[in-house]
Amino acid sequence: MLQGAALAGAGTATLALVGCGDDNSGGSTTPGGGGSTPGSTASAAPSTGGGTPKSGGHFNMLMGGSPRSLDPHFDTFPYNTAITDNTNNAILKFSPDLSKVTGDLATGMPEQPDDLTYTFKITQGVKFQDVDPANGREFTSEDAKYSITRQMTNDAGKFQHAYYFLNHIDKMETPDPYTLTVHTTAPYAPFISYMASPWSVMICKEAVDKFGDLTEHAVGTGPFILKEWQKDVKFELVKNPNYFKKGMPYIDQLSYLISTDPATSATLFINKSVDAIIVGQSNLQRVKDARPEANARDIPSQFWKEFRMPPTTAAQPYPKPFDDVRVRQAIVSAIDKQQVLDLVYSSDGVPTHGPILPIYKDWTVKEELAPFDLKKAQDLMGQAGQSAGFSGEMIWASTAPELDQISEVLKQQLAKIKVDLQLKPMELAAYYNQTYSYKYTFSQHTPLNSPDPDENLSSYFGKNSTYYKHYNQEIFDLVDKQAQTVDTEARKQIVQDVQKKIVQDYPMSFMFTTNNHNFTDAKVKGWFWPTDLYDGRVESVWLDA
Amino acid sequence: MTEYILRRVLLAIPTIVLVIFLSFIVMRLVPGDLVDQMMAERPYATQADKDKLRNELGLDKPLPIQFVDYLGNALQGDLGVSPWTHQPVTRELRNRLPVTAELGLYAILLGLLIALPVGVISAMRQDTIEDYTSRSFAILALSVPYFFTATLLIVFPEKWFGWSPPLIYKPWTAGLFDHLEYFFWPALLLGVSLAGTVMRMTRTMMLEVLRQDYIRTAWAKGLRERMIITRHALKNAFIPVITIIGLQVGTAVGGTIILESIFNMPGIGRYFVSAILQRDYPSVQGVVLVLAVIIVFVNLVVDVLYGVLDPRVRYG
Repeated sequence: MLQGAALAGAGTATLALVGCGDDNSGGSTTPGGGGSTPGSTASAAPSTGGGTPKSGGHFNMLMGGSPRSLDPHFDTFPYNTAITDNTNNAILKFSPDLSKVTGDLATGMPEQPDDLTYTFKITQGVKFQDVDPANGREFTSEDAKYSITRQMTNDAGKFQHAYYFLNHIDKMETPDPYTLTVHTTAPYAPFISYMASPWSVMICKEAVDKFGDLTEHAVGTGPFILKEWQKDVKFELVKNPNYFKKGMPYIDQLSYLISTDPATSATLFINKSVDAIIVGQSNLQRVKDARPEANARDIPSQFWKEFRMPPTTAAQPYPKPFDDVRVRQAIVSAIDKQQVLDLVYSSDGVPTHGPILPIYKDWTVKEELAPFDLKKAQDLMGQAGQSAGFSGEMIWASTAPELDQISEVLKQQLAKIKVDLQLKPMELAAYYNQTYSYKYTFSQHTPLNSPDPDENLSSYFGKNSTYYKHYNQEIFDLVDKQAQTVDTEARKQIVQDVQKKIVQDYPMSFMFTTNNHNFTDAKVKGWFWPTDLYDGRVESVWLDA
Repeated sequence: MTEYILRRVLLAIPTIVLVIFLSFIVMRLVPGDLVDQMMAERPYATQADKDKLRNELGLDKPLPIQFVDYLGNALQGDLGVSPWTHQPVTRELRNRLPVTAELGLYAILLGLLIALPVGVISAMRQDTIEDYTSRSFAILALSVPYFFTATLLIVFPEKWFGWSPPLIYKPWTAGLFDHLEYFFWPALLLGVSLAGTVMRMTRTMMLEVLRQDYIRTAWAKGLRERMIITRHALKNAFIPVITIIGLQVGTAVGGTIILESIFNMPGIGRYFVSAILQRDYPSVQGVVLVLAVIIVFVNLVVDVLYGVLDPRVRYG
């Protein structure tokens, strides 16, 4: 998981798969229930192509930043998975709209004889790519066990997702080459989601042994073989002829051109140097005008905006006047998030109502529990004895002009209840330094949402959270409870309950998320940009050219 | 001459050490440190994790010891490893420096190709339409930032004519023409920007030299204009211009930082920006060290050139 405003615009570089119904899963589960079209502002989804897939061709994608590493387990930079999701497979995978989890290397969903046991059946005949040092050997359950064990490495210098499994997996068994049984230490609801995460792909032990780490080496079972990484320029991948999904991939060559400048990136799509791109608002109309025939869709970003009040811990309770919940409620009620969205982003986004974004439609809070109501806000300030108002410093990472504008609008809105925001824009690293010391009065923050609700709750509102601190034992208990509730429907209810509890304890205003504008050339079939910016799989793409 | 160069090289050593020291200290004095930033990507990181990472990176040692360690390794060609990418800084710089150097070189060459003739003509045709046009061009080149013109170049020709400059990096191996075509546009933009200063200095110095007695004598002797300008005037006017060109190497390096992003060039500039934002101490220090060496070297070359251009200059 990657934090921070620095990547607020990083959605411009992500890649993924739209399912073409061609996977060989033996079943699926609905971690979040049904639903196929995320995002309330999304326009009609473009066709990803009917008809018979054609083989051959070269698919060029734009990548908005350079991957830092090709080691899926030890680095969290979003661009990394664009590559590793195509060179490697996971045991499970999400559907592109995040509504379902299905088998990837597994033949289907695991058998669950009890709440602590998951038995995965590995597809037989899956082979690693025929490149050194894997040399096309068969993928077995031992490889799965090795990968998961490696992912649990707890090294301070690694940006790992060890927490997915560390202390949650009791033991793993491999009774035969095609069976992996995982025993968890306690009922652990996020387990299925985490097994489907782009960060949980299976790697090749020989590659680790040979290269020491996988920073520059991607060897897996995936549909594409990495041929070249020219840093800050491009990636070149070619079709894996021995890919275990019959007929896939359809294209012969896959390229990622790295371009960080928004105007340059848009030009590369306009002049057809790339076939797929995500553009920001500043170049949206230009691209639409120049490429009216392209498939286009708006997908709300997983990076979103919140306005925080002072963090609290057992040793650091709310300072005055925030210790009075009416003051916090007044502040939240005085913020007109729709106006902020309108003024700063020309309404190009979606308001949020709680810690889980609307794109996760089965987990999100659907109604506004803390609506804008200026009169109520003023009354609450009066009831709390704060009619004269007060002032406080607001910090944020000034990494984009829009973030500065948000702060200016918030300042004007809160002035109406006589709360004077003293604006303090900060350089990113300095902002991190202060925000993760949990010493501030107000903060405008751009966090990241992830597919499993636990990631959005535990790391922000759980008892061991580090991204934010809000001390409330009742909330801690509910956050823990949802993570331990394996039954999806029961978990959904708890997730709703805990979100309502959080929202109505008024630690912050959950404001909105903005849209990513995703385009593909009309010849691109069988694939469109997914909802999850980390999902880089393009195995299903084919070119009708 | 040899003794002079040797002395300058020896004098350059404390300069470079001072630059390393300053970059080392400044990076650690600015708010927000490397460990905080790295841990911001890691949920559930504890203080113990932070302390462990600080220890692994050697950041828990006293600053003087860290500096001496760094200097000792740098002297052996080891500039450290990026804590973010786990890649040796030396290797990253070796791969990226040629791209930046090439862009900077082409930019300076194109800038001189524009600035010198225009500056000379402007001086020779003082207060004519050519002079006014040249001076207006110089002011424009100085005042319009190249990142602005670069964006215009990328957006509008595409919109109007369906043409855009090459935006995908072409190494030498992709063909000489493609390679040079790729570098031409960013080099031209940066070169024009650099040309403004050189052009104005050339004009000023030429005006001064053209008023000297020996030039009047040359005219009186009946020498041809080309001979007077190239052999007598320009050579003497060129010394301050050379100084400006030397100083512009630093400006050119600064310019590449933005242009590399706009034109998708895998140079040192993009690497440097990213390293600063991430508080990647070894990478920042490595880039600063390399740039300091280049600038010191260029200034040494400039000083030596003084003597070549003007025999009256002595290296005592």
